Amino acid sequence: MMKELALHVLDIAENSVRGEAKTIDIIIEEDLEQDRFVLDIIDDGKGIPEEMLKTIRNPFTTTRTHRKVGMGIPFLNDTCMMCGGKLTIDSTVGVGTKVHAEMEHRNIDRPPLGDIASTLVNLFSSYPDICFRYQHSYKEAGWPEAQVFTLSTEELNEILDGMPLSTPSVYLWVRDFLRDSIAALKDPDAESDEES
Amino acid sequence: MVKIKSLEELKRIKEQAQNSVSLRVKGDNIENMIQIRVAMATCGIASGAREVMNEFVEALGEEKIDNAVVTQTGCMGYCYAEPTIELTMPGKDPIIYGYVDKAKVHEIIDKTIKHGELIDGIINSQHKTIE
Repeated sequence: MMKELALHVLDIAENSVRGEAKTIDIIIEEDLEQDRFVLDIIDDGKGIPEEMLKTIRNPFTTTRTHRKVGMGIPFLNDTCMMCGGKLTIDSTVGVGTKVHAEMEHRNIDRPPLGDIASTLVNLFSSYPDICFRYQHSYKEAGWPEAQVFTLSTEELNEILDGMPLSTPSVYLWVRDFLRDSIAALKDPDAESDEES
Repeated sequence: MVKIKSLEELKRIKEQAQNSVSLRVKGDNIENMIQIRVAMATCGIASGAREVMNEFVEALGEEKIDNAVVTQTGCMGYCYAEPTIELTMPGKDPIIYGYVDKAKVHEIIDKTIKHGELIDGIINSQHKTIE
């Protein structure tokens, strides 16, 4: 079992990478008012054949050749089921795949989101040729609207202008930037620091 | 009140980094780099591969080892020994270390990367990189 939902994000996004995706959207929606935690991972990879979709929740379904089990999707499926939610996978061969995981936000069995910033920067730096787009929204009861944070590797690469994201100081800065920005979603009074 | 960093600051970080790595030969070939691949499939992720990768990037930065790339790879089939890493020193065959934790990361950097010394925990020395 994964200790953090952020580890599931890393794991499922790896599937998209292996599916030759060029763009991967990672969308997290936390709605405390409706007691909902939603995670979407959408890619434009090669898609999953219909036959395989039927058995994808079975751990003995895998495309790997050097071992016979694949636990990624079954783990996330179990977590969703345990937390009063469900996992749906829509896929079209040649178009892409959408993995949609839903859970009750306050369910006692729901793992914490965990270190999503590390997950993202791991992905960003390891696959420089893939465009990652992250969107995270957070809404508490009584708030007029959700607070939203978005970041794409396109924005980062524009600033970095050819310098790899895996450069240690850049990697660490982006990780801390993500940590701070995501933490600030829970604080409606947070202010963007425009000192420079 | 929380203050959020601005993306503007990244420009400064980039310029600083540019100055410090400018000694590196331009167009450096990947074959001349130290390559560290962290196995990042379900098995690796569940046993802490993400933290291992973070630690490598942090430690290599601190040690100012500029000619190393840290990246990910898939499952290499050594699920029992996760987290595993594949280390390729320039011109050498790749080696696999298993049961890598934060302490092991530092041991690998201090002994194998800096001095070419092999340490305990090698899984398979006849390994070929998987694609």
